[in-house]
Amino acid sequence: MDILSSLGTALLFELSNPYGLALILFGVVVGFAFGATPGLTATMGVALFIPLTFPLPPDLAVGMMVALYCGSMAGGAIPAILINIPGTPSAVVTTLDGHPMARQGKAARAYGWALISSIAGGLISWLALATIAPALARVALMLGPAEYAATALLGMTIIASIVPGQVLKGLLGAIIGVGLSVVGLDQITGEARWTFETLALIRGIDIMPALIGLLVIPELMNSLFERRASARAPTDLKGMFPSLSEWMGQAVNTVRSAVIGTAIGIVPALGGSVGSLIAYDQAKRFDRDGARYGKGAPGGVVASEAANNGVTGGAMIPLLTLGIPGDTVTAMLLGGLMIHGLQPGPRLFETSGDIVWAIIATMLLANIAIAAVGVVGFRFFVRILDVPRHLLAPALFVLAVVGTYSLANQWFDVVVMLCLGTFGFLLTLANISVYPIVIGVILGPLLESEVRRALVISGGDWSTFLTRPGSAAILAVAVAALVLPTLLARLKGNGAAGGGTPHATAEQSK
Amino acid sequence: MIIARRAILAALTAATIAGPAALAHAQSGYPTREVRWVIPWNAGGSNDIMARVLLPILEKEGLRVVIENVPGGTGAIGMGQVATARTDGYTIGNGTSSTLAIIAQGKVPLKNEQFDHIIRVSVDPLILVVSGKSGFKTLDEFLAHMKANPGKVTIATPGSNNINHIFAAMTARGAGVDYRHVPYPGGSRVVAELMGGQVQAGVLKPSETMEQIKSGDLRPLGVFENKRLDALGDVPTFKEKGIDVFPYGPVVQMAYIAAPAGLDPKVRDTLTTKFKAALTSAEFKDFAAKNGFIIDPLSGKELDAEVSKVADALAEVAKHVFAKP
Repeated sequence: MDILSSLGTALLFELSNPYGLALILFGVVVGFAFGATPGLTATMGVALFIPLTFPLPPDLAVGMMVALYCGSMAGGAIPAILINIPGTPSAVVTTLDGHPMARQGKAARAYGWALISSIAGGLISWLALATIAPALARVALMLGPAEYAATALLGMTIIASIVPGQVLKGLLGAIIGVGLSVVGLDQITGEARWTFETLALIRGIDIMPALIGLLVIPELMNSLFERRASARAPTDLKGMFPSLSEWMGQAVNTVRSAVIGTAIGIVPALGGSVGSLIAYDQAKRFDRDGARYGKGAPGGVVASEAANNGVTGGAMIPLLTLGIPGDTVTAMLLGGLMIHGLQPGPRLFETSGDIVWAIIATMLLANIAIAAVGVVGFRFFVRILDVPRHLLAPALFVLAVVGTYSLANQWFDVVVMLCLGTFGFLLTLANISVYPIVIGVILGPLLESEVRRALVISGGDWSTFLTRPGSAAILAVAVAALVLPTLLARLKGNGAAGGGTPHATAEQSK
Repeated sequence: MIIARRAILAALTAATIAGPAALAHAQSGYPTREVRWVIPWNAGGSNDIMARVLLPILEKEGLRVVIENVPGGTGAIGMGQVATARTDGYTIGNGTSSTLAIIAQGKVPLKNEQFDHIIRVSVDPLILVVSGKSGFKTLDEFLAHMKANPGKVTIATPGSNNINHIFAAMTARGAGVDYRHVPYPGGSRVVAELMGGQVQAGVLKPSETMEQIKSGDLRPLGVFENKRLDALGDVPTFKEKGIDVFPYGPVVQMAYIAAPAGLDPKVRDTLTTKFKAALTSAEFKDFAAKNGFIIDPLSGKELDAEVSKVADALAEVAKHVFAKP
């Protein structure tokens, strides 16, 4: 009851303040722009906005920054679907099915799904934030490096579902990806690895340059080499939103993915991309249509986006209840709170309860604003598909270069992006998927550092992964995810269920 | 059109004639444009937040800065950019003890001589904290536990081969036993792992832990300083317990403004004065008090001496502490 009245008061206050509402809308619009532009990140958006919020009262200022954060997650899906460039690392998984849908002329539908799932994911995680945040945050603290390592491994199992029937190629890619992530200063001992005494390599290979290179360059090259001019079906702008019955078919997927996203978001070490990877993997396994994932199945977009946006609400939970930011964006929000004279920590609810509730109310309103901005904005963004390919490809190339540079103002990142792009293109010529490499680059550092941390804590005893109930449970799920489908297929003999894998292989190698 | 062209011509002529004079003027008139302030850490980190708090205050002092985050390599990447920037005073960066440490250990191709040190921004004391739920109420209890369990007690730090790491090692040295050092990517992760009981103790700044200490989630046991802190008056220092945490010379967690070496003395003075005014402003003092760090704006020769003293101590300590795993 207490929650309802606090929330009601905060909502009424927000709604009665047109200035505040305008700021939320503005924050979401800017967030969309930052999320949709490769090279501009949500963190940068919040950082750039802090000086602008100085004159505002704290609740409005923080509200606008939170709105920007929410908007950026929803905006990341736009370039992922339209041009195969994930605007944020979390949108990588959205490219898997979103972009194939766009190629089939269903860009609007793909984005409709993304938008609905984004909002659903945002709302479900919001519900967790508004109701059981403090309890959830405390539970999440019981997880340690062993559990994070197990979760990273669980994330890795997605490789088996992305490249069905090509386990060897998938593993090879993952190893290359993890190998790339090794470059730089060792996270545990601080030793330089594979740096050849150069400053540029000490920094290591960042996720975003690798991602842009591996996903965008091969896509561009392939589009230039395509013989058939009409490879893309015309884009149908009508029917952006799925019908209610279609949506009901994805309801379970949406809720499951949002819950996975929220859970991953609460854990301080994992971050958005892990959430969408695991959610996609689970969606594919549970969906009867699983074999179509990766070729333009709406379920893939739903899983990725619901999880992505679940992460935002989830990540706010440790920030507001414990003062612990889970990623760079929430760290920046923490800074924003501090600059506005608030002291984020376990007592924030007591000392500045009104502002915390204002933030929570803002998140609800931001999700509504996302719907409006998404529907209107997409009509502009989708025009990009009308651009003739010979003009679009060079423009995207420039965007990839500029975007990569602006991430950290490093030319070396552009070199990394181009080298990996060329490498990725060669791989696609050999019918090797680049996604396992991408996943290796994203999860490699997490897996490596958390495994080593867990081992330092246990004094080098590997059994810690099995004796800690949390990590044992997660590892069991990971093993089950790998072994069960094959086992079930074997048990059923060469029936209809077993047919999926060879069929997919045949299509892959076309 | 013609008028415009004439205006341009006139301007050009004027510029040619007044060229050398204008240049001289530009130098005396520093700063005529925005100064690029490289923060070699992620946006949202403590250095970054501090810079963003200082930004409007500096602007009031007539120094417009643009903050640029160039993270990576424990600050070496951003500071590498500062080292090779033009010495016109329009590029400055945040040097920290952590970057000094990796330079001192020769892990990165950078040297302290590549920088002019302008002014110290902040000094962060470090404290040993445990979970509020843990059984250790005092430093003595914790040290006794370490002695009873040699090589088994975990102490977490943000990053490794830095000041936090040194003090973790000095705690174990005080107990006379080995320990397990667990480095994390940032202070907030250490706070989370401490609160969750994943590790037994951590070496952190008061600014990272103040709120959790106030709420009782974390408990400070000892201060790695020779005198007690104002903000945590009832927490004893290691010295009081007879443990010398500075056996290899003074090491201190600090952040300071650095510019590429060879700065014009006038430009250096301007930067020093403006930063000093901003650092000693009421607003910044208030921010420092709330977040538990110390403003000690050393500058000029004193800062040079301090930086080299800390760098020497770090180099010395590295030989003893950062043993190969």
